Amino acid sequence: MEMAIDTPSPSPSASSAAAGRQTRAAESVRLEHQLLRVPLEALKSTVRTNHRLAEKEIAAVLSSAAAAPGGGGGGSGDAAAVDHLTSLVSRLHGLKRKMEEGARAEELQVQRCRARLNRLASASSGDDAEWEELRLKRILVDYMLRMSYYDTAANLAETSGIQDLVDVDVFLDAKRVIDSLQNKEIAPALAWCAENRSRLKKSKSKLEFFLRLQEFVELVKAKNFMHAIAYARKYLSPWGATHMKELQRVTATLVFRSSTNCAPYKVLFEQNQWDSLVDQFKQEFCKLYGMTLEPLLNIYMQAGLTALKTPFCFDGNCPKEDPLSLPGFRKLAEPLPFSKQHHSKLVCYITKELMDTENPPLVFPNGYVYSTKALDEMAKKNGGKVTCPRTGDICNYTDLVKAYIS
Amino acid sequence: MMDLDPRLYENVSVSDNDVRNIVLSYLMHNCFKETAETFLSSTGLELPVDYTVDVDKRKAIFSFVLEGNALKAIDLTEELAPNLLENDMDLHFDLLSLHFIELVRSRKCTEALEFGQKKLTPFGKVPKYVEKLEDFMALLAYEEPEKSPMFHLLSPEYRQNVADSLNRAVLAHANRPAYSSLERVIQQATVVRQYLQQEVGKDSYPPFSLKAFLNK
Repeated sequence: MEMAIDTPSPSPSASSAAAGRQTRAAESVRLEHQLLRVPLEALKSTVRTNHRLAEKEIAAVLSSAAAAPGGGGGGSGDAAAVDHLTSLVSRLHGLKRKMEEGARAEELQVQRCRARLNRLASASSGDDAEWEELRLKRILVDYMLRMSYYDTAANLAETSGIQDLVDVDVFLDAKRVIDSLQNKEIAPALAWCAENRSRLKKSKSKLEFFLRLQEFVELVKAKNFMHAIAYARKYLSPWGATHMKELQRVTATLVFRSSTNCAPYKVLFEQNQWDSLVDQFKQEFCKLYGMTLEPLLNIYMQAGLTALKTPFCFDGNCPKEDPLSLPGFRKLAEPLPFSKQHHSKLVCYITKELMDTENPPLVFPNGYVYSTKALDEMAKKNGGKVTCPRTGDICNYTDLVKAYIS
Repeated sequence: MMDLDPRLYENVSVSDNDVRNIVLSYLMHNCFKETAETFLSSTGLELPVDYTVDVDKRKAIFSFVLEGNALKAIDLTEELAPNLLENDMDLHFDLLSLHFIELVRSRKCTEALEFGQKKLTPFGKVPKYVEKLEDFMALLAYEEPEKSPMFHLLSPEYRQNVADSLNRAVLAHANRPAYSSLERVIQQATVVRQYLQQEVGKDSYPPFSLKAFLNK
C-alpha cells in the first residue's frame, strides 16, 4: 500500500478559492505576529525617546528662564536679560528642529505600520501567486538579516519594493551592538540596556549583569586587579541578592586568574564567552521587539518538513514529487518528528491521482492496488483484460476486488 | 515535657571528686587556667600534673584565633605541634582563610588579594575548598563586607568555630582528650536517650536537651 501526500485539486472552484483566501487571512494574522509587532515596538520606542527629550529640554529652559537676571535696573541689566532670553530662544529653536526630525521618524514608522496592515488586509483579496511570492521574499530577507547578511537583505528588499514590510533598520540597530561585542566592547550594549531598562527589568533580563561580569573578567585577565575589585563593588554587588552564585564564581577568578587550569574558571577566560554574550543579546533583542527567536525561514521549513515526513519516505520509495526524495531535504528533516497521519491517503501508481470514494482502489489478485479510473480505461482498450504495471500479470477486469480506505 | 521519676536518681550516687574533675576538665580544656587554680584551692584538690602541660601556649593560640590573628596562631601551632597543619589541610585552610578575612575587614584589599593569590590558590584543586574560596573572594565585591550576604564570615561565631577546631586538634596531637568530660557526658546522655526512644518507642523518652534539662 502506498502512502503519499495529498496535492491540491488542479482546478479549484471559485467558492473554494474564496474559502482558501479566508483561511489564509486567518492563518496570516497568527503567523505574521512579527509583521505587526516589530514596527509598533519601534514606533513606541521613538515616541518615548522624543517625549523624553522634549520633557528634559523644556524643563531646562523653564528653570533657566526663572533664573533670568531681573530687569528694572540700568541698561547693563537689560542687556544681560536680552542676551539670556536670546540664548533661550536659540535653544528652543534647536528643540524645534529635533522635534521635527522626531516627527518625521514617527511618520515613517506609522507609514510602515500602515503598509503592514494593508498587507494583511490583502490576504483575503488579490492575487494568490503574488501574495505568496511577496511572503517568500519577506521570509528570505528576515533570514539574511538574522545571519548578518545586511547588504544582501537590503538589496533584495529594495529590488522587491518591500522596504516597508521588512525590518532592515531595526536589525542595523542591533548590528551596532553586535559588532561592538565582537570587538569586546560592552558600552553600546550597556547603552541599549539603559534605553530599555524598564522593559528588560520587567522580563527579568540578566543581560546587563552578564555584560558586567564579562567586563570584570577582562580586567582580571589584564591583571588589573584593583580596578577589577572597584568595578565589582560598583557594578556587580547590586546584583548579589539575586545572582550570588554567578557573582561568587566570577569573583573567585581574582585568585585563579587567567592561567588557571581549574575547569570552572578557565572557561570564563575563553573567547567564546563573548560569543555567548552576542547570542544572549540577540535573544533579548528579539524578545523585546516581539520577534521570533528563530528565523522565520527555519520555522516555516520545519513546519513543512514535519508535515511531509513519514516513515514511508525513508524506506526508499519516495515519489519524485515529494521534497523528501531529495537528499538536502532529508538531511534537514532528520531531527524532526514524523507527522501523525490519522487517515490513509492513496495515490494511484498509474495516474498519480488520489484514490477516494469517487475513484476507489481496486486490488489485483497479486495484491497490487490501482485506481478505478486507470483500470477502467485500460480494460476498455484491451477487451476487458488488465495488466499489472509492476509485475506484468494479466487478468480479467472482473477479477479485481474493490478496497476500502479508512 | 515528661519528667522522669526523681526517685530514680536517688539510688545513683555521684562522687564529689568526679563532679569536681568534670568541672576541672572543662576549665582546662578551654584554657581557663586561673579559674581552675582558684577552683582547686577552694576544693583542696591538687592539680593533676598532665593538665598543666602546654595550657599557656594553647591559651595564646586560642586568643590569637579569636582576635583574627591567624598567622600568629599558625606560628605558635607550628612550635607546639610540629607538622599538625601539614597533615590537616582543612584546619590549615580555615586558618589561612581567617587571615584573608581579617585583611578584608581591615579594608586592606591589595594585601588580601596578594595573600589570596599566593596562599589560597593552591587549595583550588580540591572542590570543597573551591566553594569556600568563592564565598571568601566575593567579600571583595562589597564596599561594606559586613552588610554583604556573606557577613557571617566576619562574625565572632565564625572565629570561635575555627578556634575550637584548632584547640581540639592541638589536644589530640598531644594525646589529650579532644573534648572535655562535660561535653562527652552530654553527648553520651543524648545518644542513650536516642537508643531508649528507639527501643521503647516514641513519646516515652523525649530527646535529651541540655537547655530543657537546666530549665527544670
